[in-house]
Order: sequence, then structure tokens, then C-alpha cells
Amino acid sequence: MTNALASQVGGWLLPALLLWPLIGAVIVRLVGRDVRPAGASTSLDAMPADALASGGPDARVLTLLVLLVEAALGVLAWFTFDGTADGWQLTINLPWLPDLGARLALGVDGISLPMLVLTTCLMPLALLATWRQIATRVPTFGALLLALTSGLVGVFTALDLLLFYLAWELMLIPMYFIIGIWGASGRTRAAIKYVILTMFGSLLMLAAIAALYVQGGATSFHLDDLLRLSLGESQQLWLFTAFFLAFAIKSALVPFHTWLPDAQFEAPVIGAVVLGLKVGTYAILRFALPLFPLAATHEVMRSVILILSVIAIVYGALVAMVQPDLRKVLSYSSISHLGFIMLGCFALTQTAVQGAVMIMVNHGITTSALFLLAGVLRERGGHDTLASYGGLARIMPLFAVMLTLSMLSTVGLPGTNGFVGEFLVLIGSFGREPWLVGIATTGVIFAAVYALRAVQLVLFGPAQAAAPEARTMGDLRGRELGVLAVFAVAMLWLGVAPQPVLQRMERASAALIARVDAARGATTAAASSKPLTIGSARGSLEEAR
Amino acid sequence: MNTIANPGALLSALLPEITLLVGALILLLASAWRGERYSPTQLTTRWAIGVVLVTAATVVLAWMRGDGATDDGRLAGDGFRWAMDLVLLLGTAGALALLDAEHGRTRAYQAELPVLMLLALSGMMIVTAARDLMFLYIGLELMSLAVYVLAGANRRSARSAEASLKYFLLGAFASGFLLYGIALLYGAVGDTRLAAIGAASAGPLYLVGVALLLVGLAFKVGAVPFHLWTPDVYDGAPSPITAFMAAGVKTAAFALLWRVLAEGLGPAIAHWHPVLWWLAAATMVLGNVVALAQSNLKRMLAYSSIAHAGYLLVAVLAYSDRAASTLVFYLLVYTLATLGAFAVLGVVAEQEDRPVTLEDLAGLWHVRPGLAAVLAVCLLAFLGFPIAGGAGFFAKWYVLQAALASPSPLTVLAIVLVLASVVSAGYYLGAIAAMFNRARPAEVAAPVQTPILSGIVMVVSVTVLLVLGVYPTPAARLASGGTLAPGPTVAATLTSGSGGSASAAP
Repeated sequence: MTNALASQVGGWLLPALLLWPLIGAVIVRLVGRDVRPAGASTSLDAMPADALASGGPDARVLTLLVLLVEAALGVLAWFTFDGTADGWQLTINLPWLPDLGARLALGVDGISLPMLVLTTCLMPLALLATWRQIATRVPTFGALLLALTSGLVGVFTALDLLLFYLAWELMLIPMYFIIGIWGASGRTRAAIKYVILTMFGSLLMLAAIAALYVQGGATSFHLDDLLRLSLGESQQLWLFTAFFLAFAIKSALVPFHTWLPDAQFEAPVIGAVVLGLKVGTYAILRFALPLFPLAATHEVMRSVILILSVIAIVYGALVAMVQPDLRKVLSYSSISHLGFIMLGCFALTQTAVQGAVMIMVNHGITTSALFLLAGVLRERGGHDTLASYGGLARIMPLFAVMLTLSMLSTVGLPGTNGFVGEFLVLIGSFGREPWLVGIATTGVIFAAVYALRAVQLVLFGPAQAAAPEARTMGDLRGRELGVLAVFAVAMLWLGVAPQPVLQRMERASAALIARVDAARGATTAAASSKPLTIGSARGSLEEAR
Repeated sequence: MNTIANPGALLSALLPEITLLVGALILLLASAWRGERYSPTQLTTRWAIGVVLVTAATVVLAWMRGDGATDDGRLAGDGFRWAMDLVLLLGTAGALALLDAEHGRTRAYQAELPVLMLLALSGMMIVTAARDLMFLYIGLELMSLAVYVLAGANRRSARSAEASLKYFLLGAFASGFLLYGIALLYGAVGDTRLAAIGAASAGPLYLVGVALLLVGLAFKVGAVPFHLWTPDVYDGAPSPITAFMAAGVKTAAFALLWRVLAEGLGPAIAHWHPVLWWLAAATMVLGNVVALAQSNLKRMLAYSSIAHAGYLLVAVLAYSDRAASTLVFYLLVYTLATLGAFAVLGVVAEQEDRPVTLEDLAGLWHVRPGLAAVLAVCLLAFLGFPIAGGAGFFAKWYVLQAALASPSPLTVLAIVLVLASVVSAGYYLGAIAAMFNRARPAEVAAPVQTPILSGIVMVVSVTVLLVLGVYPTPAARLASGGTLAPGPTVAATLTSGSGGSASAAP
């Protein structure tokens, strides 16, 4: 069944995923109609820009339709994928720039597939949940959102390093405009900070790509070809540093994290959701680790990264505890969770890597739900300052249930999705780094503190709800409720039955660890703990429950 | 063998230049002939565009037939000449179109201006063709004299006159250096042909000549510390002329620099390579850092053009066959982005003789989304941003690749280039943020209707930039036809000479 499906869709599925949003973006911009709710926009100069698109279908609906088709394609990829096969699947490899050796090479494996499916499914849900929040220049917004989707899909599917770089940068400009045009009052500064910090990293990476290609003597940018290069240790260290900086900045690892709270605070909710996707750590697993295994296992380099990860876990959680706004709490919680992901990536055991990918997926789901809830709060109350709410549990019971559930998932309560990844990372790294894991575990406790503090301030406690406008705040309604119900189901389902995801990523993570271990050579490979198979990982998971 | 004795050969070698000059002279006569009531400026401008197109056709023809070289080695018929000529013709055609649009609004320009642009262009084309220092100097002076006048084109503007005078005084000074260097080189070698200079051994006289020559050339390309004229002249000259100078003069100056270094100054590479290394680094850093502080857009673009001269110097320093095609491709992209950006600035500038500032751009997207989008694409191309900035990314990529693939890899310079680009994001994004993120202030009037020719320039440059940004192969192939490689012995000297630059630049 799977093979028959693969032979039918394998050749076009990924190019379609990549190009369809771009085509959709052009359509939405050209024929989409702007939405202008009565009395919302009185500024005169807002009129002529989209006057061209005054007729035609609603741009929001069009965007949603394009994204739904994209999500359907993503789900199709999920079921086409064969978890028992090694190597890339659904590959396509077409000539693109023959003089440079760059090719249009796309493919997925067990690490990229969950991220790809998560992204494609998240986008329409996030758009639905924030349906009324973008009310001006909707055709342009829709087009940018779709271009952004295409960039994300490109990042998760590109096997050609130059193509990956283009997709990596393609994400940046739409996001810049989404923050810069539809953001809150501090938007310009946040947007420029975001772009310049990210560009700093990615331009260093560009120089490293050029050096890798030219001085490594590669003939193409295809990942498989680049993996065959043999680089010396010092060369690997330099190139790895450049790549890692780019990815660490993008994933907001402490001390490169300062853009994330600003950007997520100023961005419209859907922008904050997309910023929460872990493209940076994905790129570390896809490119930085396999390309430069000697550097990744280098004692000093690895220690620095692991210590930064643990600092991120504790620091992020501590800072999250004192944030006045819900969105800032969520941003610092992201920074804390990013530490777990990094810890998992650089513990370099299969269990830890699987755990890291699980956190990337689960955190994507949970944080999205939380940002959407913060958006609901802002839509009703005008802001999301924790201290000015209270007692909302009585007037918004469904909202209260959702917020509590999502926060518990953030904490990593067993039975929710947040537990699976963190647990795998911790047991996967414990054999190698008992001390660091010991410190990291305190992050879970701090997480409980900041999450429960937020829940308590918003939902319970002294009823600031005495304020008259708070009484009129309605509970979650049809559209919002539907979307968040999907998130709730996903959170619980992945918490109880993560096997479909784990099973699909098993081969890819095993291959990654095998490659790193092989490069490290016999001496250190003997020291490495026996690779935990997924069976044993699952066993320990069950045991822990 | 002697060219003078064989006028037929000279004629065929210089056919495009002669076509251009004849066209320019006819237009000069015609502009004098016609009375004021026919608006002679617009007529000559449009006819000048025609002359440029005809010249482009002869260039393509000459390239396909392999014409152009003379037996005595004073003129080159290689792809480098023709590819650079095409870039120059593109830039001039665009600048002429912008001049026409600007004149339609301000009526400030004389009918002789387009003719002067054609004359400057013919000087540039002689520069790209020449393999003899005397030819180079004549071409350069023909170009420079015309551009001195062009910088003062707006006779009603005191700033324009100031720009012209400044440019003239400093330019004459630089020409003096250049000529002195040429004289010393002739004294050392006994020949003005680059081939003979490249075969000579580098004695003291030779080296002094090289040093003086480099000063003159660094002035012409606008490298730090010989850059101080650029912001004043760019700011004072009318927008179309600034575009012409940014695109055309810079292209010609780099063609000249590369021709002289690749063919003539190989023996002295150990001496000029470290010097140029520091010039490149200083130019990239200073150009970008000072540009950050500008609120006047033309001054900002002037400093940005200085920074781009630094990037181009990195390609020159790579000193390989890749360097030539990199230069051609980069200058093509730079020309397109410059034309697009100045086309928008010409429309946004509401009054003449008042600098266009970031305030004029504020909220532009809300009133004229098309203009804002064009300027954003051009600025992102300057920045070297992929996809959204089109071919700008590949231009920078080729420079990086050439720098790292050089016989002695310019790793440090590549990192300086990358970090300088991050700095440049500050001001390019600042301008973009002003256009998109801010509301349009009530006191700033909406820009005028876009003139048709400006619109054509914008659409063409943005389209070509974006298409080349996804599929650069055709332009890259065209550029690689423009290979002008340093000789093999020279490449060997670079490896030994790089010891000097590496030790000079830790």
C-alpha cells in the first residue's frame, strides 16, 4: 500500500509542497479581496494600495484554501513515508545551476518528515485561530504568509546546500514584513533586530558554504556528495563554528536569544507561532552534525555547547518566572526548551536525538496553542499582562481548560506530549553527561513554577475580573474552539501514543549517530554508551509511566 | 603591423566606438540645429537611446565575429571587452531613459547632455578595449571630461555646480598621478603596451610608476582613502547623472583596473597585492559603516557604492580567471540595481535641489506600493539577499567563491566581506523599514506620477534581477565569456606574493 502510494506521488509531492504556496501567493495577491470590517480602518492612505483587488474572493479564504491543500499534501507525505527504509525518500534531483553544481534536490527522512508535516498542518490552523486579527492589507499578508510557508518547506526538504541556503533566507523577508507591517508598536526595532542578527549568522554560514565547496573540492552541493568529503579537524572546526552560529542564532540559543522575546512580543500571533518552529535545531541535525562530525565531537566545542544548553534551560526558565506578559513567558519558555533540544542533539546518542526531534515537534504544537491562547486574550482584553487578569476560569471555562492543558504539556507532565521528548533527552544524555543532566532536570521544576504562576495569575487568584470589560470577555467560540480542540487532541495523543512519530524517525537518527560515531573513530566509540534502541527507549518510557 | 599604417584594421577594431562617436556628433549637430520650441533635449535623449542600441548591436556582431583585436596588441578583441561594453551600454541606456523622465518634469537640462553621455560612453568603451596605457589614458580622459560637465548638468543648482567643480579638481589631480605613473612605467620599460610592461622585470622606477598608477586607479574606482569625492559628487549631481556615474564610471574604472593588473602589472604583484588588500578591507568597512550614519539617500547610496567598490576589489585580488567573469557579473547586477534605485529616487524627489531623505520614503508603501517594492528589491540586491534581492545574492556568491578559490585563498578578506555585509543590512533595511513599517506623514506630499520611461527602467531592472536571482546561468555564461586571465607565470607569482599579503594581514 505504502509502496504503491510512494510510486505514484514520489516524483511530484515535494516539488508540489514547495511550489504550491508560491503559486498560491501570486493568486492571493492578484485576485484576493481585502477585508475591511466596518470602522476598523479610517486611514485614507490605506485605501489605494489594495484597491486593485477590490473585487474577487476574500483573500483570507483563498489563503486558507491554499494552506489546506498544502496541509493535505503534507499529510499525504506522512502516509507515503516508509519508516522501515533507510536514506532519503520522495527524492527529486533536477539540474538547476550546472555551472555551480547546484541542483534542485529535495527529499525527506525521519527527521525532516515530522517537522514538514507539523509545519504544513500548523499554518492553516494558526490562520483560522487568528482569523480576525489581521484586518488590513490581507492580500499582501496572505501572500507573505504563503511565501513564508514555502521557505519553511524548502528548509525542511532541501538536500542541496545552496538550495537550503536560499530557502533559509527566503523565510526571512516575509517574516520581516509580517512583523514590520502588522506588528505592535515596537515592531520596526524588533523586525530589524531579528533580520540583522539572523543575517549575521547566515552570512557567516554562506562564507562557510563557499569555503566548504571550494576548499573541500566538492563537485556539487548535494548533501550526499558533501558528506563524502574528507575534511581535516581544524577545517571542520572553523566551518562548524560558522554553521553553528547561524543555526544557534536562528534557534535563539543563549546568549543569542535576545531577538526572540522581542520579535514574538511585537509580531502578530501567527508570526509568533512561526517563529516558534525549530528550524535552527533541525538544521543542526541535518547539516552541522553530519557534515562536521569531528568538530561536533570535539571535546571543547561540545562542552561549550552543552554548557550553553544547560544555561539556556535554567536561565530561560528563571527569566520566564518573572515576566509580566504571557507572550514573554512563552518566549523564555521556548528558550528554556531549546536548551533541552540542544542537549539532546549534542548528547549524541540515538535516544537523545530522537528526544530532541520529539521536543521540536511537541514544542511546536504546544507553544502554538499557547500563543494562540495569548492571542485570544489580547483580542478580548487588549493586552496579555498577567497581573491584570485573574479569575478568568469562571467566565471563560473552556479557555481555562485549554490554557491549563497546554501549560501542563509545557511542563512535561506525563501523559502529555511535552513529557515524551524531554524524558527521552534526559535518559539519552544521562549516560554521557550525568552532571549536566542533573542540572537540566531542575529546569523541569522551574518550568512548573513559571507555567503554574501564569495559569494562576490569569485564571484564578484575586478577581481582577471585577473590571467591567473583563466580564464581557466571551469564552472560546466556534472557530477558536475547533482549532484548539485539534491542538488538545494532538497534545494528548502524542503524549500517549508517540510511536508513529518515533518509528518514522528511528532509521534516520540511527544513521546520524552511526555517522558521527564512525567519524569519531574507534577510541571514543568504545567509550560511548551502548546505543539505546528505540525498543529500549520505549520500554523505559513505559516504565516511567 | 603598424596600426596607423593600416587604417582598415583600426576601423574594424573600433567599429562600435566609431558608430557611437558618429552618432554622438550627428546628435550634437542636430541639437544645435533645432530651435527651442521642439524641446531638443527630449529629442536628443531619445535618439541617443537609439544610438546606444545600434552600438549594442555592433558590439554583439563584433563579438560573434571575433573582431576587435589589432595585430600590434594595442586593442583587445576579447570577451572581457565586449561583455563590459554590454554592461556599460545597458547602464547608459538606463541613465538616458532616466534623464528623459527627469527632464520631462523639471525642464532643467540642455540638449547637449545626452550627447555628453554618449561621449563619456565612447571613452568608457575605449577603456575596456585598450591594452596600451596611452589608449587607456585617452579613453579615461574622454570619459572623465564629459562626466565633469555632466555632474554640473543642473545649471540652476549651486550644489550641482559645486559637485562638478569638486569632481573636476580632484579628478584632474588623480589624472595627474595616473599620467605620471604611465610616464615612469614608459621610462622603465620603453613601451606603453601592457604586454610589454607585463613581460618586464620590476625595478625601482617601475615600482614607483605602479604606485602612482594605483593611486590614480583607486581614485577612479572610489576606494578608501581616495573616496572622499564620491558622496559630494553623487549628492550634488542630478539623479540620472548620479546613476550614470555609479553604474557606468565604476564599471569602466574596474574594467581598466583589472585590465592593467591582469595584463600589465603581474611582475609587481608581490608589491601591489598587500596594498590593495588593505584598500579592499578599508573600503568595505568604512563604506558600510559611514553609510549607516546617512539620512540623505543619495549620500547613503554613494557610501554604498564605495562599499561595493570594496567587494569588487576582493574579486580583483582573487587574481584568477574567475575574477574577470565575477567582475562582469557583479557589475551587471550592480548596474541593474543602481538604475532601479535611482529611477525610484527620481520619482520620489519632489523638489529639485533638496536632498531626498529617509523622511521622503516614510510610508511610501502605503501611497505607492509599486515604487516601494522596486526600491526594496534593488536595495536587497545591493545587500546580496537571495530570492527577494534577486541576482544580488549570486553576485556576492561569485565574489566569495573567487576569493576562496584563489591560488592564495583570501579567507580573512572573505570574512571581512561577510561582516561588512551584515553592517550594510543596517542601512538598507532602515530604508526598507521607513517605506513599509511607518505611516505616511501627512506633510509629505505623494510622489508624482511615474514617467513612462522611468517605469520601463524599473520594470526591466527588477524583472531581470529577479529572474537572474533564480536562474543566473545565462548571465553567468555571458560573464564567463568575458574571461581575461592573468598569465600562468603571474599566477605563480601570486602564490609567492601572497606570503607578503598574508603576513601583512594576519
